[in-house]
Amino acid sequence: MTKVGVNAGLHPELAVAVLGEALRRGGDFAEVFAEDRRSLNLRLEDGRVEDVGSGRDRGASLRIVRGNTTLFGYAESLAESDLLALARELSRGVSPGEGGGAPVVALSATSARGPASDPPQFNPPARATLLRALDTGARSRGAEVRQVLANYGELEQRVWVANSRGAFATDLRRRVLIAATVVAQREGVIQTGRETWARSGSNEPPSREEAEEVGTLAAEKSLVMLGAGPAPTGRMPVVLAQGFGGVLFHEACGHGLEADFILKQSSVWEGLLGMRVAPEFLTALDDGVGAGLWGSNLIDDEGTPAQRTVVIEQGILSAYLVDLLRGDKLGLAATGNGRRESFRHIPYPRMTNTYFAPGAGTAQDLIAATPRAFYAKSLSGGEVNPATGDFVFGVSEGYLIEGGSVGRPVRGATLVGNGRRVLESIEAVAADLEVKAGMCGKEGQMVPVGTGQPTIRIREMTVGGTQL
Amino acid sequence: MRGPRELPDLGMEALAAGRRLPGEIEVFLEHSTTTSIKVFRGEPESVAAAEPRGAGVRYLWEGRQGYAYTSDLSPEGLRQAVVAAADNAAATDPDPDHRLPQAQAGYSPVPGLFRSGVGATPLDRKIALALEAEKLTLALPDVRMVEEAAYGDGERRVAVVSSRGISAYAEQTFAYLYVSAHAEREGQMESGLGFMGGREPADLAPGPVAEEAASRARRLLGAGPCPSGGYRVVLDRQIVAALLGMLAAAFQADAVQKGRSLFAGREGEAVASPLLELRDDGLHPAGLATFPFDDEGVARGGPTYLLKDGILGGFLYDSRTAGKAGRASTSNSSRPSYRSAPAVGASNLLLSDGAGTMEEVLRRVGEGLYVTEVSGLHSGINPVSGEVSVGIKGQLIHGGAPSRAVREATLATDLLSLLRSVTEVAGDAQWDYLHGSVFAPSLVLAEIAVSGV
Repeated sequence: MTKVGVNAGLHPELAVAVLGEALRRGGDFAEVFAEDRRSLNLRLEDGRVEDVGSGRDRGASLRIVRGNTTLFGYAESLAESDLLALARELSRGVSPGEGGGAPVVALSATSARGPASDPPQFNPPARATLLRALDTGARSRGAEVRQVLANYGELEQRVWVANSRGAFATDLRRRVLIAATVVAQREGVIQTGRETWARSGSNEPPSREEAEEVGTLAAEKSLVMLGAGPAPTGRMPVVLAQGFGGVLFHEACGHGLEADFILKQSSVWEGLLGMRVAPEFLTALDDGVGAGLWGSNLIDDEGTPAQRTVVIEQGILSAYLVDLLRGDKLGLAATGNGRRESFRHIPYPRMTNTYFAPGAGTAQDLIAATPRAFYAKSLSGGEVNPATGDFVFGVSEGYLIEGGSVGRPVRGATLVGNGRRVLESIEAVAADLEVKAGMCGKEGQMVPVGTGQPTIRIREMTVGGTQL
Repeated sequence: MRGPRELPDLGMEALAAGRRLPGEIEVFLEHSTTTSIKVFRGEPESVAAAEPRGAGVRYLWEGRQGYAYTSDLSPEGLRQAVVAAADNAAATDPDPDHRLPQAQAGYSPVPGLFRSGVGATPLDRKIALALEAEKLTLALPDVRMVEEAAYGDGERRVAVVSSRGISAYAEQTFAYLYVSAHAEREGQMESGLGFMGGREPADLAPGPVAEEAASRARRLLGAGPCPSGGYRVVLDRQIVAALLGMLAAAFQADAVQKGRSLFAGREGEAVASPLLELRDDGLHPAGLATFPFDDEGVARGGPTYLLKDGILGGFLYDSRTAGKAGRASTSNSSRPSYRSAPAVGASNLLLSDGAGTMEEVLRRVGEGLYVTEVSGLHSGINPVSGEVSVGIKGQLIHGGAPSRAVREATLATDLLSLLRSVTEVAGDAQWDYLHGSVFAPSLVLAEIAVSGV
C-alpha cells in the first residue's frame, strides 16, 4: 500500500475507492472528509509568555447514510490503507440489503482554493512580541490594571470533501486571533474587560499597534466597569450596540432556523417560512462568504459552496439554514451550513456569520431619540432553547440611557426574552453594521462564527439586574 | 496501528528521540475507543465509532515551557513533536520555580475503574438502551416528543512518561445515557434533560433517565411571568452542580496566584455558610473523574478540602503552581485531551449532603421560589469578579409546596453572597456529570433578588 504524500490530502482516485468500499454492502450516501490542520497557540499572563504550543491534526472521517441512520467513524491518518480499512469496518454496520448501495458518481470539483502551498512556518518569537505589546498596551492604562491574560492563536486547515453524489471540494482555511482579558481592581471591587481581534482568510498577524490596542481596549472596559453601579431590574426599552449585540439574533432566532431543529419540529420557527415574523424594515442574513469575516469559508464541511442566505427578508421568514441530509428530507437545497469542528465530528446545520442588514441613521441619532433605556454595549455570550425560543444573554458592558444620552455604567445585568416576541418588538435599526468574531457551541462542537448587527432598539425586554 | 498497551513504550521512544536536548521532557499519550449512538423515533439516527489517539509533548528548559501534540504516533511523528515542543519553549519567558514533577513512589490502584462491559456489550444492545429510554419517555404524561435520546461509552487508556522518571499507565471505562424531552400543554412547550453516567452499560437504567427528563419538562408547563421581588430561593441540585462546576475556577491556584480569583488572600476566612463543606477527591470510588494519577502523572492522594464549615481551606495545585507556592501538588493537573498543555483543574468535586427530602425542605421554606432550570451560565457567571447573573425558570413555593411555574426571570447576585446566604442543605445529593464530575445536594438561600415583571 502506498502512503499519500505528507502535504497531499485526499486524491479524487482514493476518495472514489473509499466511497465505493463504504457503499459495497448498501447505503444511500457516503462521504469522506479529510483534514490536515496545523495550529499555534501562545499564552501570556503575569507579563510573561508562559506557554507556547503547536499541533498537527491529520485524519479523515467517513459517513454512510442508509435510510434515517448515519454511520460515522474516523481515522487519525490519511494513509490509503487506513482509509480503506475504515470504510470496510464502517460498512459492516450497514444491514445487508438487496445488493450494493448507491453508485458512486464520478467526482467533479465544485470549488477549490489553492494551490496547496507549503505548510505554514510558524514564528513563535515574533508572535510572543505581539503578546508583550498587548500587555504593555493594557498596563499603560494605570495601576488599577492588575492582571493581563492574553492569547494568540493561528491555524491553517486544509480540507477535502468527497461524496457519492460526485461532489469533490477542497478548501484552505486560515485564521488568526488575539484576545485579551484584563482584570482591574479598585477598593476590593474586581472587574474584567475582554477584547478580541480576529482575521479569517489570511495568516497575516495583527500589527504591533493593533495588538497593543486590543490590550488598551480590554483595559478600558475593565476600568469603566469598576465605576459601574448596580443594573436596573424589570421590563424596559433596550438599545443593543453594534457588533456583539448580534448575539441577540444568533440566540433569539439563528439557532431555531437550523434545519435539524426544523426537521425534528423542535423549533418555534418551524412551519413559518413565508410568514411575517418581524417588522418590515428588518432583514437578516447568514453570510458565509463575507470577506474576512470569522465564520466565512469557501465551502462548508460537506463540500457545499458557502453562500449568503437572506433568512428574514423585510420581515418575512425566507430561509432555513440547511445541510445536505436535512435538506433532502425537508425538500430544501443545502445552503452551505453543514459544519463540523473537525474530522472527528459529524456535521450539523450551523450558522456562519449572522447579522441584521443595516438600516438608516447613526447610532447617535438612535440613542438621542431614546428617552430612557438600558444600553447593552458589549455582550458576553448567551444561550437559547430552540424548542421554546427562550433565550438569555449576559451583558459585560452596560449603561443607562437617560434623556437621549448614554449615562452611568451598570454591571451584572442579564437580558432574557423569547425569540419570536423580541424580533417583533425591534423598533429601530441604525446603519452602523459591525460583525465580531465568536465561537459557537452545539452538540459538543465549537465552530467559528461571526455575530453582528447595527445598533438597534427593542421596545421592551426583561433586564435582570440587582437593583429592585 | 499499534495496540494501546504499547503507549508507555511509545512514550519512551519519544523520550529517547529527545535525549540530546538539554531540557526535561514529558510525554502524555492517550488512546481511546468510543461509541456514541443517537436514536430518534424508534430507529438509530447516528452511530459513531471513534478511536482518538495521540501524544502531547511538554518540554521544559530553564523554566521555559513548550508544548506540541501530534496524532501521528510513528517514530518520526513523535520526534517532530519533541522538536516542535523544544522550539516552542525557546519563545517563552522563564518561570524559575517551574519543574516537571519527579518520579512517584507508586500509584494507588482503583478497583473497578476499567469494566469489561463496555467492550463486551454488543452494539445492538447499546442501541436498544437508547431506544428503550426514548420509548419510556414518550409514554410519560404530557411528553409530546423526544428530541434526542443518546447512549455513549468509551475505553480510555492514558500513559505519562517523563525524563524526570514519571512512568504511569492506567485504563478506565465510562458509559452514559441521556434523553432530551419536550412536554406540551395548551400549545406551550417546555423541555427537560435526563442524564445518567456510570462505568459500563450495566450501570445505566433507562427508566429513571426517562422520568427525570419528563418531570423536568412537565413541571415548567403553564409557566407564566414571575413577579420581581425578594424570594427565599431553593436551588435544585442540578443547578448547584452547575454552579460548583463554574466556581471550581476560583479554587485553582493559578487563578489565586495571579489575582484573578475572588478567593485570593482569603485562606482561613469564612467565605461561605458554615453549613458548606466542599472537597476535591480524585480517588472517590463513584466519581467519573477518578484515576490513579493526574494528567502530569502525579499520584492522586486523599481529598483536598476547599471549604470546611464555610472556611476557605485550600486551593487546587498542579506541580507548576505548587512550585511557586513552595508546597506539594494536590494532583490537580488536568487537560481535556492530549491536544492541550496541562493546567490546574478539579477532579471530582463533592459538596457534603444535608438532611431531608425535597418535600420536607419546601415545607420548611413555606413561601419562595424553587429554581429548577438556569440558562446563560457561561456568559452569566464571572469567576474573577464573582458576579452571577443568569436566567431562571422554576416554580413558586406557596404554602410549603410547589405551585405555579414561572419563566423569563433572572437571578443576580455574586458568588460570595450566594455561598454565605445558604440557610439549609437538602439531603438529596447525587452525582452530576453535565458540568464535570460533581456530587451536590439542593440548597436553600436566604432572601435574594429575582427580576421578572
